Amino acid sequence: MEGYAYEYSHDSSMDSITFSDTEYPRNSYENKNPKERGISKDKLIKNTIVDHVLTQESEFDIDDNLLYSDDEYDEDYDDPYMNSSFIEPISTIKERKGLSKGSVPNLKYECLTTQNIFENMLAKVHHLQPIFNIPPEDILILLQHYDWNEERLLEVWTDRMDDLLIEIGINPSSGNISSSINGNGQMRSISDIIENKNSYCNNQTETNKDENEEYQIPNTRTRDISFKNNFFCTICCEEKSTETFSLECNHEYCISCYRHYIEDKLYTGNIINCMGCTLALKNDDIDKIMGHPSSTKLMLSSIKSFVSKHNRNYKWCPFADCNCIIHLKDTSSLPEYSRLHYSPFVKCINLHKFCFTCGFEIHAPADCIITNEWVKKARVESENLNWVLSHTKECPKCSVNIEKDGGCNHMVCSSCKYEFCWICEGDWAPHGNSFYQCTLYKNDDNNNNNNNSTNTNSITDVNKSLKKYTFYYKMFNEHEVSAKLDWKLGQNVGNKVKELQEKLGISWIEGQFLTDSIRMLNEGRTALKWSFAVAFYSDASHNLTKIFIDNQSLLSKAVEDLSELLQIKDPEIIMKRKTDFYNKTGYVENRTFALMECGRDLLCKGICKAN
Amino acid sequence: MVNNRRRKSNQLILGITLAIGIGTSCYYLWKSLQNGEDRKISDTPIKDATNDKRNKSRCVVVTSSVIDTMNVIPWSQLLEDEEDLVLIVIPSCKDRFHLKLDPRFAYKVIRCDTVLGVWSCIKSLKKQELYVNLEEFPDGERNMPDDIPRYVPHITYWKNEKDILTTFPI
Amino acid sequence: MNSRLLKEWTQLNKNGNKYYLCPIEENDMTHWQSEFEGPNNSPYRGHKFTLYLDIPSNYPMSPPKVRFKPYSMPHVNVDWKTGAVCLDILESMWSPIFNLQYVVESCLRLLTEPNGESPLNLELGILLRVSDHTGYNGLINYYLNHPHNSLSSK
Repeated sequence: MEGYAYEYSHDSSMDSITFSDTEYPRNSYENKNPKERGISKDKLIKNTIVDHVLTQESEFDIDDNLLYSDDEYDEDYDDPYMNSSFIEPISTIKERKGLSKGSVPNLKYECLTTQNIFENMLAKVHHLQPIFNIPPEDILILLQHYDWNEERLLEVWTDRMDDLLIEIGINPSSGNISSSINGNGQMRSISDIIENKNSYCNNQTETNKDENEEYQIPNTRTRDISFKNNFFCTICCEEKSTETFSLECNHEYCISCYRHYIEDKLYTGNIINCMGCTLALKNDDIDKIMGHPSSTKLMLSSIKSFVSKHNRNYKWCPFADCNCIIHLKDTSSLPEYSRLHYSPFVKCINLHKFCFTCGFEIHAPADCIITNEWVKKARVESENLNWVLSHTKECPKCSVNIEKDGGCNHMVCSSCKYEFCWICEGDWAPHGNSFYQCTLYKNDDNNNNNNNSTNTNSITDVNKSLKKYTFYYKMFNEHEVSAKLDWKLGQNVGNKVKELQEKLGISWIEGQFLTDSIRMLNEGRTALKWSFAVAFYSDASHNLTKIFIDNQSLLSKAVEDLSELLQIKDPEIIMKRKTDFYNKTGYVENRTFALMECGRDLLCKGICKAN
Repeated sequence: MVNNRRRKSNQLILGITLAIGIGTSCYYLWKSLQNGEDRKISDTPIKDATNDKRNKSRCVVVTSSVIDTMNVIPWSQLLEDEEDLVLIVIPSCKDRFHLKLDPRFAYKVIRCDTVLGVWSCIKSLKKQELYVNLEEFPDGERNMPDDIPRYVPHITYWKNEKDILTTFPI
Repeated sequence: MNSRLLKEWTQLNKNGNKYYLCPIEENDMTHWQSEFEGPNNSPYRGHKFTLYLDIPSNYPMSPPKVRFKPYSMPHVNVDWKTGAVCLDILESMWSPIFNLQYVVESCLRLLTEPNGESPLNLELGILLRVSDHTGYNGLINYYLNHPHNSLSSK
């Protein structure tokens, strides 16, 4: 499972190559909530019950109508290869979207960067300026102090504005600076310590007594850098000719001490005070001392801590090197999502999709609980099992090393032309036709003794459960590897589109079906991948689980078909088979949705649950 | 020559056996003496079971029935003998529980102003055994916090004076 | 920054070093210790305590790491096992203007003014919060006198 970081980074690189500069019809993918994509839940459940009865007679003889016994869909999916009415999958989806009113409210969110948030804060400052009637820079410090919470600031402001300005260190207190350093429940001893802070100063700085005299009369000097000969700095205890800095309080220290001091504090995001008292350094002062605009660093750190503190509404995009923040304004619908075993999937501006609740990639049909459980288990088990996940395999017939170059599991040995399945290494012939067997974990002695768990001893039970897990994990992993390879494949798609434009004079928008196909292929694979986590935690004896597995097989087949189609390199053939691309992409989309809904059904009915 | 040598070696063996014999008997004699001394020590004063109790870590919550046993059970002596015995006095008894105690051991009696405080002390001390009569706690505070067993492995619930006397036999 | 520590050291020697604050080894200025008696108006009265101060390389920009001898200080803001001290001036409220003597004085002050807001010793924290003064003092007294404590520290 350590592959995540890799996968994410891979993803992002892929995005930048294929999608970021293209504008595919967004709205069809805008919402990752599967609910929005098709038939209503009620209808689906009804259908599965019908199927339930149907499949009891012939469990493995599955046809494409399994979930779509509705006439409307029957037509579309009876034979997607031949059906010409099914050309514009995206418009179809739109229509179907209209058909269903989801029971889960739409997630309303925005994608921001720290810079965006900071700009919002600056806007707030300008908004507050007429009320506060103090320099914007001071308001910025006030907001920073109150974690950018406008309401809280206003509340305190109306109560005691003068005290607040002194407390936070914007205005020097008249006479005695030591009176108040801390606003929020610090230790009582602090104020005393500050008094001593001053006495310590006196103690140490016998050499420059003027400091104390001037300190009694604030505002006589402004905050600035000056040059002093033979200046004794009380921080480093060195006497030298140097630049110094001081605020109105006249606590003067050498510039190098000040720089060290600020350097360390920039990453905390907290207000930086004078080293000798509570007077705050403003952004201008910081930039002046550091010699370059360092205050932005401080502001961004402050915003970062703001985001971490408000992690109910703000989430960092988990993808490597992505600095996006998703802001979900209203989190009230999240419990409803988890109750119905939906996951609140969101997408950042770089098109990285992830789950707002758990921060994982799109993990449907699994919900967050199953996902976490599976990942945890995989982390533990992978150490025990020590998988060899190579990208090459020997041909089962002639033992030539074959490298898997696309995500497709249908392998043809280059030397002996033997066709086999990458996953089970068996002959491809039975896979290709009606039913894709490889998704099915065959419980060897399932039929012989159903009560085997009670009879057999624990060792064989453990072996069996490990064997079962091994199977599911292998499947999960194969699809993960395939998904990665598909991304590689996708990188070529951009070139293919270009080629189409150049060689055949096809408009850019017309070539988009390729990009759509590759994206759908990836979504299908991801769903397929996570469906093995659901299958693993499902009660295998239940009929709904069998239906789920059948759905898995169908999606698996659909994905393999599409993947194979995308291996075509000749642009002319691609254009000729455009309809195929549309149909197969649409089919994958529908099968993906069906699998997600079926998995959700398992979760809702408690057939699939993490132990 | 041969005979002579054999005789010499025979003498040598005899000598060695004798030496070993004397050595072992001396050791056992010494050991038994030691044991006797040990027994004498443990036999000598006050209570016979002190030795194993000395290593026990016990915590007793002082409630009114414990106060009633003050004339029977020599609490001061127990505190002085048992290294790891501690008494925690509940609020209602803190002014009634007075022992003639060597000041060096006075620290082993902890008085509390609140019942919550009593439980906090018990949690902090983490002794092996806890003896408590919950029925003598003030009204509404007779329930033991759920997490106490996590801090004390063995809890004995006293119901009356007799239970106390079974735990601390005279 | 080393001249700062040297200066503090000479200052301490000049002004009478009442907390016995000194480097543990003569030629290593990064590890200091201090010894002092518990204040009279506290349950720590009559007991001696040792405080260790580890000086970071960027001192005084960062505060020293301060801990009592392990298993020696039963205090709300001190971890009994490690001796770690929870004090705001040693964290967020640190200022480079503070010196080592100041740190010791603050720790000493903590003995008379425990802070129930941020307890490291949870049980003492509860006793303090419910203002069970008898229990609070009694428990501290127990730990200070119990011989096991000095054993476990070795």
